[in-house]
Amino acid sequence: MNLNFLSRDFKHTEIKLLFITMILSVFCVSSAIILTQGIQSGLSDTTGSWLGGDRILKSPNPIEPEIKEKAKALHLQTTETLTFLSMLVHHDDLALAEVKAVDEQYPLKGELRGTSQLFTADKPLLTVPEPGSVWLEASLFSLLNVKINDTILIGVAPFKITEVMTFESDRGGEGFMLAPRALINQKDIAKTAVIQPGSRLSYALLIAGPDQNLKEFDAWVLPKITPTESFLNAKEARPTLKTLLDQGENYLTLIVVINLILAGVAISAAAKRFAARQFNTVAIYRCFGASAQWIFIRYTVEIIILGLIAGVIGFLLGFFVVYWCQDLFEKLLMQKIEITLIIPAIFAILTVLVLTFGFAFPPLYALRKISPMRILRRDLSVKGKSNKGLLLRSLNLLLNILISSLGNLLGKFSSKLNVSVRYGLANIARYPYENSIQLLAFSLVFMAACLLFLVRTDLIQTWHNKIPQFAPNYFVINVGPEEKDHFQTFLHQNAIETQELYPIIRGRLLAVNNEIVELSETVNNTNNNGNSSNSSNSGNNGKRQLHRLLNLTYGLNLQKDNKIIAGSWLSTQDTGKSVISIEKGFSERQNIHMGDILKFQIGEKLIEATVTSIRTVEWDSFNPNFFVIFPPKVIDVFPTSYMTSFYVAPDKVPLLRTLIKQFPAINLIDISQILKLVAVLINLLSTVIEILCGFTAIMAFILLWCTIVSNLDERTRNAVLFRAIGVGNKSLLFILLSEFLLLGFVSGLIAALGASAIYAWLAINIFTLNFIPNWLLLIFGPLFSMILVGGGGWLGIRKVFILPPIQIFSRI
Amino acid sequence: MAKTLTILQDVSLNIDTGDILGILGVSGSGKSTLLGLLAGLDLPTQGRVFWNDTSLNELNEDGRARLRLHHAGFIFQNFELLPAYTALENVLLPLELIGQTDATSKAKLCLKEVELSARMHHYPNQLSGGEQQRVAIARAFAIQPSILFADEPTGNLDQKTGSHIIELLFELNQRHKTTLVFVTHDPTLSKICSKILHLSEGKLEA
Ligand SMILES: Nc1ncnc2c1ncn2[C@@H]1O[C@H](COP(=O)(O)OP(=O)(O)O)[C@@H](O)[C@H]1O
Ligand SMILES: [Mg+2]
Repeated sequence: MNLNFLSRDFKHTEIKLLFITMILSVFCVSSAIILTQGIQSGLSDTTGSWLGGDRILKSPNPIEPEIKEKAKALHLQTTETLTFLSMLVHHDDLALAEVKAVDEQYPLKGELRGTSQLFTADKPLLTVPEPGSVWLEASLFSLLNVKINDTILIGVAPFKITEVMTFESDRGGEGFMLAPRALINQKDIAKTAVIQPGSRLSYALLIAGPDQNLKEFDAWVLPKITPTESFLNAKEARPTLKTLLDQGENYLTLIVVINLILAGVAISAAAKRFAARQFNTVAIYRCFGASAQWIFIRYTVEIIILGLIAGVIGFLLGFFVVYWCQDLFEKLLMQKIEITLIIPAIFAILTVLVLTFGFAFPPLYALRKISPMRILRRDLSVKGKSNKGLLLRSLNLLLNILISSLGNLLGKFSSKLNVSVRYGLANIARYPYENSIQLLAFSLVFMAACLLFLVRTDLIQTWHNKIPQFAPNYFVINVGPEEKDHFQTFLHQNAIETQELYPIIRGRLLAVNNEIVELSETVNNTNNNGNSSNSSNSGNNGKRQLHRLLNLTYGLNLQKDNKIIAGSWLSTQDTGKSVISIEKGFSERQNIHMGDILKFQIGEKLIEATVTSIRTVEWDSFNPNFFVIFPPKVIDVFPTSYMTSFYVAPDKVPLLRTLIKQFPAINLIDISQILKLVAVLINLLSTVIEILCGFTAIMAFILLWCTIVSNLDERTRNAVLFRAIGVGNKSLLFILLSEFLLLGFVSGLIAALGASAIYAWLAINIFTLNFIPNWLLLIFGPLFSMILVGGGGWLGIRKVFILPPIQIFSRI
Repeated sequence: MAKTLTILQDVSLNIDTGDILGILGVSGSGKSTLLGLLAGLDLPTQGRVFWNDTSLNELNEDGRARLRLHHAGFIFQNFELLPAYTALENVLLPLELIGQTDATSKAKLCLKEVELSARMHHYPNQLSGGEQQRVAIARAFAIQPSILFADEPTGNLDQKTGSHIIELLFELNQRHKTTLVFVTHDPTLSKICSKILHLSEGKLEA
C-alpha cells in the first residue's frame, strides 16, 4: 500500500529533492569516512615506514624484557636494533660511522633500499645483511676508499661489503646523523666487541601492529618511559606529516559537518513544503474517515522507506567512488589501503536516522493533526502568529533597513524602474517570516560554500608552498672552514644553487639568569641530534635537549620562514654584542623570556648572552633552522663547521659522487625521499578535498533550490494576478528578480562576513594557517550569490511567463 | 501531441460603450475562455479581437498588458486578492502601477465606495468572502477603467451576499459609466443586462 503512495508522491519535486539530498548526504558522510579511514591506514603505514615501525622506543640501555613481553602479549610485532658510533677501518683509511645492528624482522614498516653499484638506480632490499657482511651508505665508500666485496674492520671483526645502502626507512626517526650509516646483522654484535662499559649505545625497539593494540600499548608503556628514553609515535614523528595529517583530517571533518548541516536544512525545507502541499490531501483523507493513526503510518512508513532506499543508494555510491579512489590512492601512496566498511556503514545508518527522524519526519508528523474542517475552509496562506526568534527578527530588521535605503536610492535614478522594483522590494517586507527564513538558508549555503572555498584554497596553497618545486633535497653538514670556499665553488661550477652556508658552533646551555639548568643523566644518543631541523625530538623530549650539544650559529640574515614575535631581529649594530635570538618553542620549554641572560659553554669557555628577540620557525619547511642565533663576531673564534642545503636535480645526482670524493669529511644527507612522501601526501589530501568539496557544492545547490522554491507557490500565484491586471512581463520580471537579487546580495554579504569570521577562527585555532582576510570574497561573494539566487529565482518563476495569463480563471 | 481541443467556435460579438454584457452558460461551456480572450489575457488561435480600433492580435503580451493596466478592471470568482497585502494595499496596487498621483487618497475613496473604510488595514484572511469581493471591486474601479471584466463574481458567495455584490457592481458601473462584461451561470441576473450571450459547448445560442 505504502509503495503505491510513495510512487505517487514521488512525482512531487519536494520528495525528489528530499530523496536526492538524503542520497548525497549519506554518500558524502560514508565516502568521507571511508576515505579518512583509508588515508589514515595508508598514512599510518607510510608514516610507520618513517620509523621502521608504528612506534619506536629508544634507550641507552637494553630494552626491558617486560616491555617486549607486553608488546608480544598485545600481538604486536617487534624488532630490536642497536646503534653505536664506531671507527671503520680499511687499510690506512678510517671513517667514523654509525653502525646499526638489526635482525631479520627489521624493518617492520617501510623498506631498505640499496644497489650493488654506487649511484645507480636503487631497488628494495628484502633482507638484512648476512652475518659477516656489512651494508654501507654511499659516502663511506669514498671515505674508506672501498668498493663492493672489499673487507673492512668494525671494532675487531672483519666484514664484507655487500650493498650500497640508499634508503633506510627509520631514518626519519633519527633526524640527522653526524656520521654515515653502516648496517650489520645483530648476530655480529658480540664479534665486534664494541659493547663495553662506557661505550655510547642506543637501543631501539620498533613496534608495529593494529591501532587498537598500539593504543593499549601506549597507555601501558608511557608511564614507564624514563627521562633518558624516548618513545615516538610514527604519526607524530615528523612535524610535516603530522601537520598535514591533522589539517587534512580536520578539513574532512569540517566538510562532513557542513554537509550534514546543509543536508538537514535542505531536507527539513523539502519536507515542510511537501507537508504543506499535503494539507488538502490529508483534509480529504480525514474527511473520508481516515484516522490520525492511519495518516501517521502512511507518511511515516513512506519516509522510512524513502530514507532506507536513499541510504542504500548513497552508501553504494560512496563505496564505488571510494573503490575507484582506492586505486588512485594506492598508486599515489604506493601502498595497499585497507578499507573496512563497518564503521562507514554505521555512520551511514546514523545519517539516515538523523536526517529522516530529525529533519524529514517532524513536518510530516504534524500532518496527522490536520482537521477535516480544512476541506471547508481552505486558508491557503495560513499566517500563523509565528514566534520569530531573535535571529530572524534581526535579519528582518536588516532587510527592512536595506529595502528602504535601496528603495530611496532607486527612486532617485528612475521613476519607471522605481515602481516595479519598489514593489519587489516591498514584497520582501510583506513576507517577513518567509523571507528571513530564506535569507537564513541562503546565508547558510553561501557561508558553507565560502568557508569550504577559503579553507580549501589556503590549505592547498599552504601545502604546496611547503614543498616548492626545487625544495632543497640534500643537506650537507660538517663542511670545514678551510674547505668552505672550495665547496661553494664546486656547487657554483656545477650550477647547483645553494643558500648561504650556516656556521655551526657546538655548545651547551648551562644557566638561565645564573640559574643552573639541571643536568640529568648522561646523553647516550650517539646520533647527535643537535641540528634543530629535526624538531620532533626537540619537541617531544623537552628538557633533555639541553643536555645535548646545541648547534649555535651566527649571522644577520633572518631565514625566510622565521618570524620575530618579540623584540627585534639582530642588526648590524648588534655585531660583536652579547645578544641572541631564540626560537619560540625553545624559549617556552626552558621558560626563557626576553632580556634573560643565557650562559653557554662552548669548548672550555663560557659565553653569556642576552635574549633580544624570539622567533617562530617553520620546522616543517625543510630549511636549516636554529634554536639560538648570535650576531657575528661573538662566537666566531670557536671552531666552526658549516652546513647548508641545496636542490640537486635527478640527472645531477651522479655529481654527488665527485662531491664526496673531493670533500671526504662532509656529510651529505639525502632528504629527497622525505620530500617525495610529503608531495604524495599533499596530492592525496588535495584530491580528497576536491572530491568532497564537489559533493558539498551539489548539496549546497540543492539547498539553494529547495529554499528558492519554498515559497514559490505564493510568488507564482501573485505573479499571475499581476500579469492579468496588466503588468508587463518586463516589469514583472523586475519585481520578481529584485526580490531574489536583494535576498541574494544580503545573504552573500552575511555569508562572506560570517565565513571570514569563522575562517579566521578556524585558521588560527584548528588549521594552524596564517589568516589573511580575503577581500575579494567580500566583493565577489555577494555578487556571486546575487547571481545564483537571481538565476535560481528566475528558473523557478519562469513558468509564470510561459503560460498566458488566462490561467487565472482556471485556478482555485 | 494531444489532439487539438476546440473550446470556442463561431463566436462573433460586438460590445458597445456602456453595455452590460452577460455571458451565460453551463459550467465548461467556455464562458471564462471567452472572457479571457475579450480581455486579451490570451489570443484566439483563429479570429480577432478589437478594442475600439486596436486589434489585440497585433499587440504582443506587453502591449496587451499595457492596455489592460490602463483601461480594464477585473473581478474574479475567487477574489484573487494578494494575501500579504492589506485591503488598502490591494486597492493601491493598480494605482501605483499606473503611476497615479495621490494614489493613497484615491484608494481610500474607492474603499469608502464599497463601505470598507473601517477595514482598510485588514488582510484578506481577516475578511469574509463578501468583504473580500468588495475589496476586489474597489480595486477594479480604482483606475476608472473603461471596461470591467467579471468572472462569476458571485460564484463563491451565498445568495444574499451575492446579490449585494451584484447591486454594488451595477451601482458603481452606473456611476462610473463603465462597460461591463460579466460571466454568470445565474439566469436571474439576465434581466439587468443590456445584452445577453448564451454559450453552449463553445458556441453561441441565439
Ligand atoms: N488550460 C486548459 N487546457 C485544456 N482545456 C481547458 C483549459 N482551460 C479550459 N479548458 C477547457 O475549456 C472548456 C471551457 O472552459 P471554461 O471557459 O473555463 O468554461 P466555463 O468558464 O464556462 O466553466 C472546458 O471544457 C475546459 O475543460
Ligand atoms: Mg469559468
